[in-house]
Amino acid sequence: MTGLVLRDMPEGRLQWELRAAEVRDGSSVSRLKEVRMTWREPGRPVVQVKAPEALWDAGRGLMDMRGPLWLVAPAVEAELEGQALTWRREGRTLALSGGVRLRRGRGVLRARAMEADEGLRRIRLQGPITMRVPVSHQPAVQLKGRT
Amino acid sequence: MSRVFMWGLLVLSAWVIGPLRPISPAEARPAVARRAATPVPLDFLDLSAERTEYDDKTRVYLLAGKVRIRVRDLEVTCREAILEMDGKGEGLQVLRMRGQVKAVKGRQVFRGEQFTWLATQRRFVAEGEVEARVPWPAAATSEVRP
Repeated sequence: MTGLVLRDMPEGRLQWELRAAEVRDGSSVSRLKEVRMTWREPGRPVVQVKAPEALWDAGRGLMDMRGPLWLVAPAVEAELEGQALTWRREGRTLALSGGVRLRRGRGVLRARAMEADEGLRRIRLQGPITMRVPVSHQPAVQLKGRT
Repeated sequence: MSRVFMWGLLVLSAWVIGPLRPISPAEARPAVARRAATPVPLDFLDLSAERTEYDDKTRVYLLAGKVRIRVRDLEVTCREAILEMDGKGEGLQVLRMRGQVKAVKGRQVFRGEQFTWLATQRRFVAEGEVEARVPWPAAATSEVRP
């Protein structure tokens, strides 16, 4: 089967949408290729991910994506990279592994693995972790005048 | 105790601000716009740890386990660090270091239980008891009396 769009719309409200270029149906698990998945909250996307392939277990509500993966989280203005992503319908959590790289503004964080809620608002990272954090600058005070 | 604390605070502040230097003739010229006592810009902190959590609501990172922080030639190790970020969650405003904090710069060593770095003010603040080991200048003499 080529081309698939899956939408989760509890109570008529779109929560996530998945598009795949190719689908192979197994007994309980579907194998997807060229996947794009978007998690939404009312009025805007919160996380978008692109993956070359994924396994979708509809019965268990489990999406397993294989990388290289690239995630964008417009709600928190962050970008992430990793090698494997698991989304669980139960608990609505994301788990990214295989060497995580998180970029936010000029800051960069690297970790072995990450767990987060769908909106990436609460993130837990396991190490070893390295971070490069930009420092806020107080507005420079300039003194001008003639003596 | 308070003398040790004040001395520690003074030296820690000097670490971040940088060494005092003479004013060049260009800077000393009158009637020229200039900045007064502008510290060298400090753009990034490098940190490492075993695990971390971030909460976008509070804009706080919590780092734990073998925390190591590097700022230029200053290296700090501690048990945990709390990073309070600015409104966008991008820039560091306050860094709190807790638990067996050890700050090393060259031959100078400071130990304490809680240090705070106020990034926007470029100030280090040590809370509680601080042990400071500062090399004595080679040319200095001292006299010990009972």
